Amino acid sequence: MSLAGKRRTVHVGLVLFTLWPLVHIYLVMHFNLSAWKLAGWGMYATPRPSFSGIEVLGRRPGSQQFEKIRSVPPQWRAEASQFLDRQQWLGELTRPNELARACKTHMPEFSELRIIVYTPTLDRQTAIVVMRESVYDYP
Amino acid sequence: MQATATWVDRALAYLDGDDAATELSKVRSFQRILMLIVCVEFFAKAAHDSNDLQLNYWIGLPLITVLGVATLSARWRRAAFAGLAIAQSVRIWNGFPSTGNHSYLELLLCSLSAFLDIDRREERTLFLRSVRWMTCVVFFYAGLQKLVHGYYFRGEVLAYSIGLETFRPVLQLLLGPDDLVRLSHYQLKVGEGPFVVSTPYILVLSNATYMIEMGLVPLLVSRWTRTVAVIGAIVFLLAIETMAHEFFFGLLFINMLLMFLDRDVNRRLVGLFAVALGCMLLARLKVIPEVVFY
Repeated sequence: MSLAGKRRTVHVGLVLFTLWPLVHIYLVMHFNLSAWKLAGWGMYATPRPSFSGIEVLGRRPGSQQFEKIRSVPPQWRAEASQFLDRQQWLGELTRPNELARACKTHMPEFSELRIIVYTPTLDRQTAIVVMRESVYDYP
Repeated sequence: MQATATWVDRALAYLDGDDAATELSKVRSFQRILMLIVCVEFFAKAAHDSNDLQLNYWIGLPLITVLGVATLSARWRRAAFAGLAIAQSVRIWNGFPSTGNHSYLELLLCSLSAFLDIDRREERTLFLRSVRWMTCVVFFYAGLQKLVHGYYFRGEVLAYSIGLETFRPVLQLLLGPDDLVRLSHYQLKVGEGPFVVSTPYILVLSNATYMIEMGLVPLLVSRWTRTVAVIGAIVFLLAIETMAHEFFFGLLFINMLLMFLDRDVNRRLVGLFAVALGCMLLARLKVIPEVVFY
């Protein structure tokens, strides 16, 4: 490659390197992406995320109420743990679609599923730990 | 396109300022230190929890060693850095999205080392400019992220970090007695707080963090203040590392900062970097007392 070509390539790379953190900040603010990862250079900009929890609710055909599903297969738990690891960093950019699909296969008696992810978060205004809920509905 | 290239070139030219006689030696030393950091990290991670390349140790680690050694040869240097960049990409892919930010920097720097021929003066200049630009971008956004997310105005992150193993000993020394007693009782449970500090100098320290990070950028760009800024930035990084223990990031970033100096000061520091990295590896292997680092 010629010097001019190399220079252009490096320049494009540097421009992208410079602009990406602005996109990253937007994603952190609007999609709960973690400031800590993905080359936005926001390490320690927010409190380090702590563990998350997950809950699955199901609705039977004709019922108005969601009920808590307690008996999930062990394999599902392992997949849920992997999803929570991902969700901790990617926020709402990732969805538990695979988990919902596995649930529907194992529990066809439910016509609708709701997966709720609980994440303890430090509220910026009050500086008190609050529980953030991300709700995913699967009709 | 041409106009954009000229504009970017002009912006990058503000970062120039090298002693022509030692410029090549400086860039070579930078690449040696980079190679040491990348290779030791592969070994340290393999010794710790997982094999980053998900290859058999007997294939992965010798491969990394061969690539590392090959970066020292003028003939194979760029190909070896391309190999390290591929290995680094695999590592990032396997660890995604929890991969540390410094891994992306390592990938970009290895790619840059593979892409540009530092034995040619024009390409070497482009290499130097790029590394300096990246350093400024990282510093600026590290500060901006702290500012926009707003967890530093009342010391929230520092207060919350009392729950982190590496932060606790230093915070116990720094926090005032009232803050220390109150924050020590928290277990980071829902409803606990407020995670704020009232110790005045901790508040100053908290707010100074993002100001220093962003303020260092113009000081690194200006040739008049560059040397002082490099020394200040290294001291600042070392202070942060006493709590954060992000040693790979710290060493990588110090290596990048040394590129701002007009002479090849880093050539004399290659051995020091090697010793520091060797100690980290020995600590990981539990040959010397273990230290938590990331």
